Amino acid sequence: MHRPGPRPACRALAATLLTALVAVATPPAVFAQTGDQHDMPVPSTPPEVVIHAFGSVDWAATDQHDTPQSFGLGQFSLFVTAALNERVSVLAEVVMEGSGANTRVVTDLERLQLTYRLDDHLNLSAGRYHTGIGYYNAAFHHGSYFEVPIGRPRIFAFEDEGGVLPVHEVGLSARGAVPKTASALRYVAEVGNGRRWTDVDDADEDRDEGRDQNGAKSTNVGLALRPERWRGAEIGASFYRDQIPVGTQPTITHQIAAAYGVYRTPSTEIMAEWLQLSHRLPASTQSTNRGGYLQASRAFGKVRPYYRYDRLDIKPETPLIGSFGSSTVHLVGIRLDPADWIGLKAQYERLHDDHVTGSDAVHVQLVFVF
Amino acid sequence: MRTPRLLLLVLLMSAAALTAAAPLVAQQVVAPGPPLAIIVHRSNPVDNLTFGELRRIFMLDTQTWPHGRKITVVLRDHGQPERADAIRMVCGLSESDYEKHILFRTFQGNVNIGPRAIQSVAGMLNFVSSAPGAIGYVNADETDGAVKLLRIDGMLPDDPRYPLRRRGRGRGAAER
Repeated sequence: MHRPGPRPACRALAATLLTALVAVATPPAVFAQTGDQHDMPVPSTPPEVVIHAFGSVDWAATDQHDTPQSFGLGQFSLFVTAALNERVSVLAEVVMEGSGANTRVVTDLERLQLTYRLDDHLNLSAGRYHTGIGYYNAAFHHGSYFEVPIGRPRIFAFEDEGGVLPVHEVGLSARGAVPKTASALRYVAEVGNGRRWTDVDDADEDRDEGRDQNGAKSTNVGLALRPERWRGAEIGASFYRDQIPVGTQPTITHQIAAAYGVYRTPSTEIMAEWLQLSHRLPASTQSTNRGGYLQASRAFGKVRPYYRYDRLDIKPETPLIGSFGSSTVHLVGIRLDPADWIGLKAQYERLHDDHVTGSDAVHVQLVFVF
Repeated sequence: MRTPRLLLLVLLMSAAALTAAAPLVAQQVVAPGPPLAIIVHRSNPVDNLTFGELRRIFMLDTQTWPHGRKITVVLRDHGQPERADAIRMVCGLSESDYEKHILFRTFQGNVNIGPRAIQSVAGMLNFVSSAPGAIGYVNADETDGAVKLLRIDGMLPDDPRYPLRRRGRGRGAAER
């Protein structure tokens, strides 16, 4: 599994930004959340800052003898957004991951975007963002409170957790509603550096952190349809393309096509998504791999049972991701929301992958927002 | 694996027991209150919204007026019955689900300025009459000349087919 090591430069930047954000944000946050002050005409001076934190505590066990059952801390996501004026806003998501054994904290700047909103038809953003590949990646970020099951579908796993997609990128994006469609048809267009596939052991990686490896930019375009008649329903598709340099070898042409159908209301969630990834070297055959998931849940009061079928097929001969492996996971669980902003999830997982057939696991997660 | 399976079984049974034990809350039947009047700044050129457009505005799916000004949604303060009432009538959601929806949209980066919270009818009228992009609501018998009353689906609150009429479960002015 591809597991990049620490990225000191990025993390130092993230820690600095985190400190600055908290220092800048604290006084206005009190101002922003005081209801009485909204009885007055629109305030004009300090930007209103909204701060939220998402956290989780986990417990997991498998039938693999070399993996003992264990408690663990999940990601702690600090989310800050502020409206600088009527049209410009800034958003930052800083994720801290702690060890259960000690208090060492690893910090990553996962999102940092400055957005200009001309109107509902054109929102322009610059910075680090979650790519609009398919549905899941742009809908669910690092705070796991909004996700019904524990964990992301394997195809949408984060890069540092063995993910095969360019989940994060630095660049520009435009999104909005297509005119004359009553906001039913929405688009996204992104231009970014693309994912860095540099060998993680390369000592030069951190020196170039954040920069593109070549001049070719990744592009992603997507369309989504949300019919007003069927509230909560959305279908969509996206297409991503990049040129990836790999050492002295010829550049790899990487394409990702995604299609999805989603129905999400407070009580019901049905999500299905399928992606096709292709990698092609010049004068070589194209490697095509596929992955996706089907997920459903239904709330009965505070209790929500759920199921997910999660599949990823990666051919070993595929450049860059051939060693990531294939897997099929059936996941069934139940989520209990005992109070607003607190969720308790418990799920059973049955995993088939390249190494094990029919491995069982149980995962419990307590999630919260404040 | 016995311990994990046992734990999972216990969790599942606990959840089922909690569901079964949840008290059934009797629906309180309340006399219909006055209709909800949707109000905007007097300079706003919009005269009419469809119910779908109104819902998209309150859900923050639509955030700018057709003439380009940013929309500021104004609700009554958290916990006030007038807030939950309006959210249910316009969005079809509970107040809790609405708050989660707004946070979800904010977390996705789709919201610039979230809904404002106002404590009183006077505060609502004062805010909407002062902020050119604001949209709020009061009971139809509480409007004044400082704000503009919007038609919804072409109808004003005194029309029997007006879509924001309370149907017997609402909490009208008499309850406040």
